[in-house]
Amino acid sequence: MTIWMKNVAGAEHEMPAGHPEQIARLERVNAALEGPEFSALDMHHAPMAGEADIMLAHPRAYLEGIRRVAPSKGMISLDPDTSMSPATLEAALCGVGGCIAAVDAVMAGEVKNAFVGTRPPGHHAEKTRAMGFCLFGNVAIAAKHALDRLGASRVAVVDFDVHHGNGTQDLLWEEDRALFISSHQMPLFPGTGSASERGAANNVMNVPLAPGSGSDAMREVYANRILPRLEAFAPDLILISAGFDAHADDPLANLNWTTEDFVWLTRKICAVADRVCGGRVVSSLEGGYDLDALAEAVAAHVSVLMEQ
Amino acid sequence: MTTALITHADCLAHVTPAHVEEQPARLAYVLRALEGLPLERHEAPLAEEASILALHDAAYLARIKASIPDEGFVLLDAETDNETALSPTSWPAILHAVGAAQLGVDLVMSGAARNAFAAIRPPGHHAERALAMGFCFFGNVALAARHALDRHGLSRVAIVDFDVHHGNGTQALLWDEPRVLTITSHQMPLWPDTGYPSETGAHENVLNVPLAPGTGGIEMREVFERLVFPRLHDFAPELLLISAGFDAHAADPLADLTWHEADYTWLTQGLCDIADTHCNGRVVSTLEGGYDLDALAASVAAHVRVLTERAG
Repeated sequence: MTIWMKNVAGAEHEMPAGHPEQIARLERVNAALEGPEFSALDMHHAPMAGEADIMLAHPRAYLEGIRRVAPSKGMISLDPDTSMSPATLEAALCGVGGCIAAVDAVMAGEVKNAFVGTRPPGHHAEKTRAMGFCLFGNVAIAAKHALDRLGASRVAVVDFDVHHGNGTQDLLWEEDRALFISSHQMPLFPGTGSASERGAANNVMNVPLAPGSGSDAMREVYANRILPRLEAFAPDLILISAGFDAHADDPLANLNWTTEDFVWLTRKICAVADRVCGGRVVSSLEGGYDLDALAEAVAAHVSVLMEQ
Repeated sequence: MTTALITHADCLAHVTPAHVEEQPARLAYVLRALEGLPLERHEAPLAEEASILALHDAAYLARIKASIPDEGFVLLDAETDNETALSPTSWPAILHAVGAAQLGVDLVMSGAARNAFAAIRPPGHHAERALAMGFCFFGNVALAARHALDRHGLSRVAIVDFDVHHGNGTQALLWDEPRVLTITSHQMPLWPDTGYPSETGAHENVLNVPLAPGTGGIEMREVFERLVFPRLHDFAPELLLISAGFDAHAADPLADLTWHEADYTWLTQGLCDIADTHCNGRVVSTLEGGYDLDALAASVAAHVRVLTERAG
């Protein structure tokens, strides 16, 4: 069984007109997962995370600052890419809460895996900095939750969003019980993620990909470098930062992955999970800005989770 | 004689916010597209700050420098522009972009190269005297024109800006400069909404050629033959500078003209013909916009191939 964590507030989180990280993204994802072929999904509404949850990875002062500036009407801008509207705080807290609830269910053995369909995304949010459309580190917090509260010994995060997961890297930099692996286009926003960034405990693996590279380059680095490292780490849980903006049609980046590549990659990650941790995978939506490509790739990704 | 290719790795390191189309991969695509052409590569120097003050306010330069963030991004004027951001690595890129165009002038004026292409970012043609906008901080090409006047003693420099957006910055920086003829073709209406034919400079030294959305290569050629080339011939420049934006390409996501690679070949040939007639082929072309990466790469290759053919 696969859980679908649906973030209702996420579909009300407004960004400025014309912004690529738009409500329609989640509407298209939700519409795809409401199709008949996904009727076996176990849909839950993502609960809101509490203060203690956020503080697994962010200082209290940061959360308080975000609460203080959250608008009751209109929109405020946190950085050139990142804005808050009245629904944003709840949407962001439900993103974290959805990831935590999904980890709870998977670690308890209630289901094998889960997909959190959320926005805003999380992997660019640093300890005290909202950026790149992100407010809180959804996936990093979920990793901390599994380690600190559920007794997991080792948690791996695989981030295949086309942008470097600088936030997740920042939040997990000194966490030697976590392995963070990010593949991403370079050069590209946010400019970090060179292979030399390895974490305080050699617990970070960055795999930059050249602009214009496609399926072959992706499959080569995953098959030969990333998946062996992931398997050798033998995590108790695998988290996926599932961005679909490496798709050839994406307007914000220049990799040339196909929907079939996301299927291949999801199968490979699930196969490692089967061998090392009873198939426990929680995947959370990050980027993906071509609406058709996003809907198709998410559907394909979740279909693979359901096959397991 | 050779064609110089002037660039710097720091220009690839100038990162931009996630939603911004002016991103580092643009330059990566451009450099890849130029591999295999007979180019003499030069590393762009850092421009001297004093040379920038010829056209920009000292307080503005100081404000940009002081605004470089330790991490993340900073908008210089968030109220009016959400896309022109500084990152921790931006300052060397900005200075190399100015320096690249200046070095191009030095190389062609000394005869070390017949012509030159500066493959740089950030672009420059929207930057005004004390205003960053449209991804631009300093007027790379306008500053190269001043460099040619001040350092090489020229008295007639022409700038042709075929970027799809109006070169408001170049126009503003050189509005009062009778020794420089600035010609810009651009889509209108389109951001930044300036560039009417009525804007002619303080000394009739500016020519604006607006093009309607949908204008294709055939119409473009007609307009350049009728308005732009004769004006350039009359001016008889001692040096021709090009603000080479490739966002008038049909595939570009930010505008609605429908030019193709062959149009850039034609246009570059026409401009080189004028330079051959008046100034021994001295052309320095500097990258501006172009946001569909495949179209950008193919168009730059077509443009620079013509430069190399003229240098050979």
